Amino acid sequence: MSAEEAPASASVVKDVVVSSMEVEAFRRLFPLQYIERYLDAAVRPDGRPLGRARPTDVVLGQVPTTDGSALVRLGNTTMLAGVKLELSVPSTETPDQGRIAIDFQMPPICSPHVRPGRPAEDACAINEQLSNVLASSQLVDLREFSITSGKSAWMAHLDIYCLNADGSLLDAALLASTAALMDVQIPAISINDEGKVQIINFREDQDEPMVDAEKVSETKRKVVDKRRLKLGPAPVAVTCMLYKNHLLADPTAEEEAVLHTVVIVVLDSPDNLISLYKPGGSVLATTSTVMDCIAVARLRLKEVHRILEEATKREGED
Amino acid sequence: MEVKESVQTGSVSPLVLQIVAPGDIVLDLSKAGKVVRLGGGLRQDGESVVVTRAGRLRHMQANNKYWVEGLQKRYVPSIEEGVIGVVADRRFESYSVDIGAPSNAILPILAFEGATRRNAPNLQPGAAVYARVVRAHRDVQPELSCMDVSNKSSGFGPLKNGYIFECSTGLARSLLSKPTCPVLEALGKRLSYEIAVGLNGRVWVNAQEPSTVVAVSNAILTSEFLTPGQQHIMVSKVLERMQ
Amino acid sequence: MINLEKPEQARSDGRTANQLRPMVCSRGLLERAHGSARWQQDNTIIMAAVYGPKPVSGKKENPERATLEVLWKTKSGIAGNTEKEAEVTIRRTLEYIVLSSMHPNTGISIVFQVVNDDGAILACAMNAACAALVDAGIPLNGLIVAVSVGVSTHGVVVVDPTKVEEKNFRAHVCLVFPNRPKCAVAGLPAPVGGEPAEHGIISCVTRGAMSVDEYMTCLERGRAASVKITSLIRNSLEHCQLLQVVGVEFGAVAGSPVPGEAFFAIAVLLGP
Repeated sequence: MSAEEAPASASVVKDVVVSSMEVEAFRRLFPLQYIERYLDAAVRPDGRPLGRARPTDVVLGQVPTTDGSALVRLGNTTMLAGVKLELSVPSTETPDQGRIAIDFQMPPICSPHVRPGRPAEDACAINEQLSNVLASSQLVDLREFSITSGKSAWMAHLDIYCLNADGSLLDAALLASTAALMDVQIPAISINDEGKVQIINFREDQDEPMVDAEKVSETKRKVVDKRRLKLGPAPVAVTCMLYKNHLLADPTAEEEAVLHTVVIVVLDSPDNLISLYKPGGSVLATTSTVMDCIAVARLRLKEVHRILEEATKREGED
Repeated sequence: MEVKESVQTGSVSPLVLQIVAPGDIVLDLSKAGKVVRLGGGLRQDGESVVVTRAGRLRHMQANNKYWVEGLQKRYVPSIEEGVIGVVADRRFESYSVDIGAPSNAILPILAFEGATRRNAPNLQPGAAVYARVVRAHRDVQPELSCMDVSNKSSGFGPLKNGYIFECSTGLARSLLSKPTCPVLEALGKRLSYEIAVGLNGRVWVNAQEPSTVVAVSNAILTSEFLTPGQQHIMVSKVLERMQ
Repeated sequence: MINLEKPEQARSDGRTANQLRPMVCSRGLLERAHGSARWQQDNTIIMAAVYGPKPVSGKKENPERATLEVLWKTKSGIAGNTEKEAEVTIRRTLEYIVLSSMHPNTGISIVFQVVNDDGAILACAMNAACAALVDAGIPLNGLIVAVSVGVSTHGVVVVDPTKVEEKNFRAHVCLVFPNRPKCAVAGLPAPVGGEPAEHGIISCVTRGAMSVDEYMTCLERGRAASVKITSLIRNSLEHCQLLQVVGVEFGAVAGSPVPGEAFFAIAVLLGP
């Protein structure tokens, strides 16, 4: 390289560095105008068209100590869900149903805005929405969890941890919960005449169930093999942001912070609306906006159902 | 009940003297003609004037001023209003005074008539002052002064003894209206008392006897929703009970 | 319960499917609060108190706008996730109407106390909050109207369900619309997206599953019901404000004058 070319390329490099710094500065100082520039060209800052969700990954069975688990990545948002089953006595009002206890947590690892101590109010709101969605949808029939009516039933502890919060938290949390429930294997149990239930543990090197020697002589016990849960249609949530007359699906945390108006639509089939949540915001939702959100949700429903099928197939092959 | 739709045809708003609610659009500026002054409770939204506080819409022809008269307890400081404040703290250069606004006001130590570094009045926390709002902007702490524009005290300054009570800003405004408010007139005929009314909803009353002070304050508080005739009757009942 | 063969027949409390419960709105009840209101829909009663704008400290201080804070106190028991979600929803809804940029570096708190919950409690709370904000004189850019609509197990859409109906129904929705303002200028407020502005939804919270068509019907019925509630809110405003015009129209409130408080209640029995 001759002496004249070297300074020319150095200044080109310098220009590139300076202009990328300016772009970053503009993004920090004027976040709304930064996003508006992209919206006018019908694109998002990360290059997606307005109605498309981020690439989604679902992996089942990541945590071997649980009875069912799933790790979900929705763009950068990462959720880990696990289900542990516990024997319990069903309540007297619903003697032939088990229970699901949902706990959604946002540990400080997920976002610089979360501090240790009292849970963020967003976490509480999502907790509540998750329980409502799972209760209103027909994903899990609680009678599946019953062992002996009135005497024993399974209690499922569904814990969801947010490992990285980058927008669309409810979408990812619901997907993780659904996937974890799909992965659940109810352990094999033996029930004796008095209704006492014992979980049969499998020793790793044997295929035969290990039975306690002293209990072999007891009166006959009924054995229920381990099984998967029978699940209904999976509910799928889509978070949409409204800004002027644009509709953005699956926002990142940056977009959520700047464009205040959120609409979350949860469907489990193209015509069955499990939940529609719009908490205020600066934009009114007209009937056509609502229909657009539902249309986006219908497309996403098909996509997510396909992703869940592939994930279950993959896990079955392993 | 039907909401009567009255559309602006001339340059004056058709909703004057009616009760308006936040969000009501009262004036189209493009048809208004001359300069329109907006007082409390109104703001400009593009070409129209929108109400931000509930109350009765008022209009003064003289300087084409519109404002909304409402009943509020919370005071929002505006310039050139006389307020009664209570000193909360003394800083190096100023006092921090509580006037019932979103933040405490600043009263410079030298803002008294004839005050110099040597002989400025020394106000303790808890002392009451009657002052004038000199600066009031939403981003800045309000500033007070105990002098008028020509640096004379003209009634401003510390208030000694007496009793301070709170009322709504609407009542304070009506107490200061001209001609003299009926309740004050009726009380003044038989009792002798001193009174200072702050537009921030505070009233200071002082008299020789504590019973006079109590009677005057009770009479003022109960006069809020009475017609002038009823106010006279109420005052005469109060005075009878005093004897 | 609704008679399914003849859906237009009476519900357990004698109303038709589109009939709202009698509503009462009273303002200015609490002496210490800067603004307060009590909203009653038959047996559902909730009180809202507004404090502010007042100075706030630390993290909550925002140099550009006032910070809104909502606290929900239940009738009994400890506040759980349901109450937190209600707080978040109400705060975001009120951020639509409060002109918070007029009071930077301050805080506005709204505290709710549930006196009795007989269904539609969130809608009641929204209405009470709006009335309390007006009573406190906080600058607003409009008013809101909230209504609750339910869908029974057989798909009948019903307005303003009671607690029993909510439990037995398949789903219910709380809808919040902007209040239609009085307008002195022709053509305003401008329609949004082809519909009048008061048909747009500020907030929507659903519980339970319903079909998309049922949801659209709920929207329609909600809009129709909100027109009636709008006229109630305007009436209550007019009567409350008339009292303060000294010496012109109104006489003393119920005999001996009550110091300082503007207490006026309107009960409007709304027909089908």
